[in-house]
Amino acid sequence: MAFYFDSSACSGCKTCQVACKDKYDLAAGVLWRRVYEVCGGDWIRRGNAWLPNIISYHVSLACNHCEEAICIETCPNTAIVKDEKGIVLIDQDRCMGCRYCEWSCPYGALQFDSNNRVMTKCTFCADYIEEGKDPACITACPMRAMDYGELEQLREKYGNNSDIYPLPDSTYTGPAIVVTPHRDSRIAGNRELRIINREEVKPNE
Amino acid sequence: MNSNEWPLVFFTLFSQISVGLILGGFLLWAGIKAPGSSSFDTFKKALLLTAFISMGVALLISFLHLSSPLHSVYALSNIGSSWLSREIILASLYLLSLAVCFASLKYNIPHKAIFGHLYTASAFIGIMLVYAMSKVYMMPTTPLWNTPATPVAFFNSAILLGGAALLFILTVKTPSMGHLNEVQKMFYLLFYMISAGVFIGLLNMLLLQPDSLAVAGSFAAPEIPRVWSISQTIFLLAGYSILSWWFAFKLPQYQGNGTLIIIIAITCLLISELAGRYLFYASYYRVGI
Amino acid sequence: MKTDNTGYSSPAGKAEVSGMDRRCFLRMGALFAGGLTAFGSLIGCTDSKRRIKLPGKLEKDGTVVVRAGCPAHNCGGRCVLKLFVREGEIVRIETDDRDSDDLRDPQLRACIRGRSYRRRQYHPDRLKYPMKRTGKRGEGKFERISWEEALDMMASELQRVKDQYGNSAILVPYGTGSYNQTNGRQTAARLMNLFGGSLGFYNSYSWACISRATPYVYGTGVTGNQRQDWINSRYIIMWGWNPSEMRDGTNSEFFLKKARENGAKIICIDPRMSMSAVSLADEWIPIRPGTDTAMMSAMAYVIISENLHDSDFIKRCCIGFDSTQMPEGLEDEESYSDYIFGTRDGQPKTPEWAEQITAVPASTISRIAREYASIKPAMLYQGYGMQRRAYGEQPVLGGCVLAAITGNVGIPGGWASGIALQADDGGPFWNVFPTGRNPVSASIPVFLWTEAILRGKQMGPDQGVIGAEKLDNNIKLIWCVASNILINQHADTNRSAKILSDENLVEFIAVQDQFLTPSAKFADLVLPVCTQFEMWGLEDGWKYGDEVIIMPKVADPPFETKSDYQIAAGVAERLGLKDEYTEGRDEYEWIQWAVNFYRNTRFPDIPDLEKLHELNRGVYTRPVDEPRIAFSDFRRDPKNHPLNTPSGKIELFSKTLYDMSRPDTIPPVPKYIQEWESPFGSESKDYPLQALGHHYMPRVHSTHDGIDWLEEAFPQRVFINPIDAGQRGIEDGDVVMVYNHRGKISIKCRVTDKIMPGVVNIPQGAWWDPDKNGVDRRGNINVLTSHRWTPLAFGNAQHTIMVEVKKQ
Ligand SMILES: Nc1nc2c(c(=O)[nH]1)N[C@H]1C(S)=C(S)[C@@H](COP(=O)(O)OP(=O)(O)OC[C@H]3O[C@@H](n4cnc5c(=O)[nH]c(N)nc54)[C@H](O)[C@@H]3O)O[C@H]1N2
Ligand SMILES: Nc1nc2c(c(=O)[nH]1)N[C@H]1C(S)=C(S)[C@@H](COP(=O)(O)OP(=O)(O)OC[C@H]3O[C@@H](n4cnc5c(=O)[nH]c(N)nc54)[C@H](O)[C@@H]3O)O[C@H]1N2
Ligand code: SF4
Ligand code: SF4
Ligand code: SF4
Ligand code: SF4
Ligand code: SF4
Ligand SMILES: [Mo]
Repeated sequence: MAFYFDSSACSGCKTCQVACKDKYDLAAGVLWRRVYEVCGGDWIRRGNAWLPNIISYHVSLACNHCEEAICIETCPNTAIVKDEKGIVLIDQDRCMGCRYCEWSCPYGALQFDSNNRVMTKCTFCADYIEEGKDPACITACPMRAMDYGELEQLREKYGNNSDIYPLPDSTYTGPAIVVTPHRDSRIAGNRELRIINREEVKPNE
Repeated sequence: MNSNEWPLVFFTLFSQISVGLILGGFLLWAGIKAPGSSSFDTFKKALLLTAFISMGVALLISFLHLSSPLHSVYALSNIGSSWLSREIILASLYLLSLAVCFASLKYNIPHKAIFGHLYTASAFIGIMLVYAMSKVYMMPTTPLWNTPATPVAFFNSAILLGGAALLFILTVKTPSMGHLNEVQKMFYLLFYMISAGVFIGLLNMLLLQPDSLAVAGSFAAPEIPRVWSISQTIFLLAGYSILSWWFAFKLPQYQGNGTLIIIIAITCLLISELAGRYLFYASYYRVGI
Repeated sequence: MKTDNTGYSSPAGKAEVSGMDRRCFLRMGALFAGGLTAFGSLIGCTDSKRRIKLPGKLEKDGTVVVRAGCPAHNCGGRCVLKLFVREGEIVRIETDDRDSDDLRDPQLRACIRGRSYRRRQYHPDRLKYPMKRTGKRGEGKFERISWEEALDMMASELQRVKDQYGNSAILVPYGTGSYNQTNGRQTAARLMNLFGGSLGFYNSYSWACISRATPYVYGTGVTGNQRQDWINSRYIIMWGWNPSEMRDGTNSEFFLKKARENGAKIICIDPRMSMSAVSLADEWIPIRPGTDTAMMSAMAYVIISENLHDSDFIKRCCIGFDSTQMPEGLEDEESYSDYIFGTRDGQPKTPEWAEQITAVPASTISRIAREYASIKPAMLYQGYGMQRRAYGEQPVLGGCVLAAITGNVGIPGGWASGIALQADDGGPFWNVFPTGRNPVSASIPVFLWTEAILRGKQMGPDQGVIGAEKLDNNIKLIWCVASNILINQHADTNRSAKILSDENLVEFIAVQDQFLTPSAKFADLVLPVCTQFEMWGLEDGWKYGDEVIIMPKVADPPFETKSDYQIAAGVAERLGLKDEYTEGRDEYEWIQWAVNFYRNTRFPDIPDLEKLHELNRGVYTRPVDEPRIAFSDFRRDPKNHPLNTPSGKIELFSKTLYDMSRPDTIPPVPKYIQEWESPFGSESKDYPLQALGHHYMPRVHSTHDGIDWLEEAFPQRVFINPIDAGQRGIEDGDVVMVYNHRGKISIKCRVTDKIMPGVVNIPQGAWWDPDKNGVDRRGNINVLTSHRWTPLAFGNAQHTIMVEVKKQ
């Protein structure tokens, strides 16, 4: 199972993020899906005019249910497994809350639930998939900027790209995601990109 | 560094002390070639007991750091791919092996005669443990840790801290140990062990650990890692200088007196180690977000 | 309707029961083949199948799915929610899941606020009981009372004020909390009209200028094509328009995405790099706030001097373009072209001139002008933020004129600008609940209610009063329903607070809400209202749309809450008006009535309420196959389809405005006028930064403030450019003081390049939370805004303010 995300259409409205929180009753602070706000560039003053040399876009990200999921490799408890549909799931009855997987996943997908004292993350709405329904976040998007399916199918439909800042090089874990980059991510040039909503997404420091 | 990582600092510290003790024991044993001497026997018991307690404390601390400790039984289930799983298994095995060693020495269970083999096995498991411990941090997604500096530093800490701990036991135990020339020989052996630790440690810091710490970006200001790293070096050199001075001027007249200086030196070494470890954890840097 | 024993209504007929009993078995497969086997037996996990409890799975325990309208706040959209209800509790909220999702009839997908609604619905701070004030007004001290006492108090105060002063001393103020018919201010308005009336008002806080000014050009507010037509456009200017965030009718952002996919180039002109600039635009052009008319004029300069205007259309359909087209008797007055070329004032409105004012490079202005005039058809869509400003009428007129001179009126893919209500019938009704006629004929501009408290009896037409020569009263009683206007949403909060705390001015204030809002804290009587999930309701589109959305009651009102309708009916009973008020209907029956009303007006085919509920789609829609185009008849044949303007044509020069004889503030052609608080004025010495307060994603104005999931997603911050921050030693995340002579706010800042230098932004709507020094700790921008109103529309100019920021 893989996600498709269209960064060129995403407005950063975070409806997907909350659709997920609502389905799973996630406390504030636990974000199975997060929306990163990326920005770069500077302002150029020319006489009285201001020229914006600014680019910005959003990336909505959950777990990528990676082909070579490093979390599965690192979890000592075999609490993380991949099911036959390729969905990477955490067995909370087995997790001891050591948070080691959190150290290893390069997507910040693993979210510790301090109330239940176990690691949690996106389940790809496995229950919905089982029922033949679409994941909650996908159908939430007012911009219709997301899709899902088999990785191969998504690649045929939307191309091969799974790299966009701030995502790490896709060779680390083989993420099952296809991304249409925002125009600005392609013209970024030498403008150094940053995540500018750090407090909202709590990225790895 | 996150506060929830402090238990890890102490877990690695205590388990490395433990393994260092066992490795140092080997050195002394081989060095004085008097495994049968009764005074050395008492020393061995103290050594094993310290190693055992140290490892026990280490495991306890790591256990307490778990959020759902009841599920820790499953931690043994992924030795196929998880270095953490391997570490946990090796740590448990190592503790068990120490207990068996001690039992054979003290209670003749299963038998005194196989103590040597048991001890060798413990040392071997200990080495594997330290290696596994370093591998835990060497993930492809943590490039600053994923270097030879990590295992070198971990083994080195074991040697340095184990040496220091042995030194301490030796000073405490000297009065009850008969053969003063043997004791003196042991002191020298430990001095070499610690010296090796200090030099490898310095080399590791200089050559293998590049200025990557600041890159990690988890520090409020770029000066902070430098401050820590300078204190690490200063305390290391201070502890080592005090020790050298003691060995040069005090050891010749040593009669089991003057433990205070040694304790100060060891404390310096410990502080240096803690600083190093803080730096290590604080330099956690993972690719991605 | 079937009401089961838990008291909520589940759709009749085939109720969908959610949840499934199949259990999920997961194979661990090859994963465990390796190292696991050795230890597997030890801990008993050699199974290659493992049960993993799937989180979030609804068990089969009678959870019922009800599709309902998202509570009809004034949120910019109207969407369908799919509610999972278990024993009267909403346990999950999803959105419209109708099979088809095409342009004719797209799904009405909810936004983050609708999806977070459970956190509001089950918030511990919801009002539970009627309360009366115990401390000083505004202190926020109350004690619980019975409904009996509360309704008696409400009724007797109404009667007292009516007897003592007359009906015109009563105000049911502006309040946009609910448009679901049986909740909302309209329920109180109906009662007041039966009771002899209350002081009337006109206009809105939303679009006073745009709704007032548009008809001077076009004779109507219905200037917009149906949105399905947007895909026909080749070039779209989102001028101060941010539909990704404020929606402007559910799906506006989606229609724009489709237009872009269809090849339209989209540019966004906004001081902020808004969510729309990021996700919809090909180019973002930051402009200094309040200077849009300067840029529009310079565009006209380029267009006309390069002969890119549509002279045929202008000749056929417009007046006032140049001296050949002036209204009779005014041939010598300044025409639109005269203004643009500076024939009277000596200042040609060149791009270079505009660059000094707008901070937009002259070359950019020229380029946009050429593109807009030559890529046909083109849309210039005007947001409402830039008309909530000093002289907010001017950019409205300016946009309309640009659309007209480029001939983009009356054609598919074009756009006439202005308020652009949906052709051809004006679109949704919002409220159909019959409020009746107000026997008090006097009406004030909505924004001037504090004036009417202080000196109503001196207010006449020069203060915008209509229907009377002078008001005969100052306001003495306020019954504030579904509104936070008293304190939070009106300009200059400290001033409002001072006025309201004086019990000699307004003698009685009742606030009817779901939370103890800043306005409610100033009430003498607080009446707790149920949410819109807890009573039958109905809504249609927000500005645009062709649908009716039903809002079945899915839970009983908790504690002692009641619907606004029930409360008004209770007051009516005490005033002896019960039968007239209710006409014997309960809420459900009023919604039946409302559905019939739609059948008799917009939607002849709409089924009755029972049927709608049974279908359980939440919504009745009429797909749009051929989008209506505003002014198409007029364009084809202006003689036989004249506009409702004095000339029957598009008025680039308005004689009506000319006759007002206030050329400096109400010119007959759109002009750039320097704002009363401006970076070019002396006030900028002390307060050098312009402050915006845009409509923020996580809130509907002040509604939803303090909801954890929303605050986590979009925290309240002051947004500031790194250049301004750097000059003040401010770093991202610092707590800063934002202040001017009206007040002070202390909040965290977000340093971001996505706002232009010289401008800061404090999203409007945060709940005023003053500390003991009167410094607001939450970030309600109205602490800083000005109460001054615009010249023509008497509209709120809340976005025109200057401030200073310093590090704390
Ligand atoms: N999320 C959300 N959506 C809403 C609402 C809400 O509270 N929250 N409220 C709804 C209601 S009632 C209304 S009336 C509408 C309001 O809709 P608008 O009035 O259109 O919204 P604003 O955010 O005030 O302004 C829109 C944009 O105009 C920009 N702007 C401000 N001043 C200027 C200017 O001088 N020139 C230019 N070019 N741009 C300027 C702002 O930066 C902002 O991006 O939104 C509706 N939708
Ligand atoms: N500075 C600044 N100020 C502004 C604006 C701006 O852009 N800048 N925008 C202005 C605009 S466009 C508008 S429309 C106004 C909006 O101003 P208001 O109409 O005051 O809107 P809200 O702040 O949403 O307040 C609505 C209240 O109704 C309550 N409510 C919700 N549902 C119900 C219900 O069913 N029954 C009852 N009784 N209460 C309910 C909510 O809890 C909330 O307290 O704000 C204006 N104020
Ligand atoms: S994104 Fe992270 S948690 Fe998800 S499968 Fe990949 S490595 Fe594991
Ligand atoms: S926190 Fe849980 S899932 Fe993550 S590595 Fe530890 S046991 Fe495995
Ligand atoms: S697929 Fe389901 S679990 Fe994963 S992010 Fe989307 S809503 Fe959350
Ligand atoms: S819901 Fe869609 S547009 Fe909104 S943040 Fe998520 S992906 Fe982006
Ligand atoms: S746009 Fe309005 S109606 Fe639609 S979900 Fe958001 S808050 Fe609800
Ligand atoms: Mo509004």
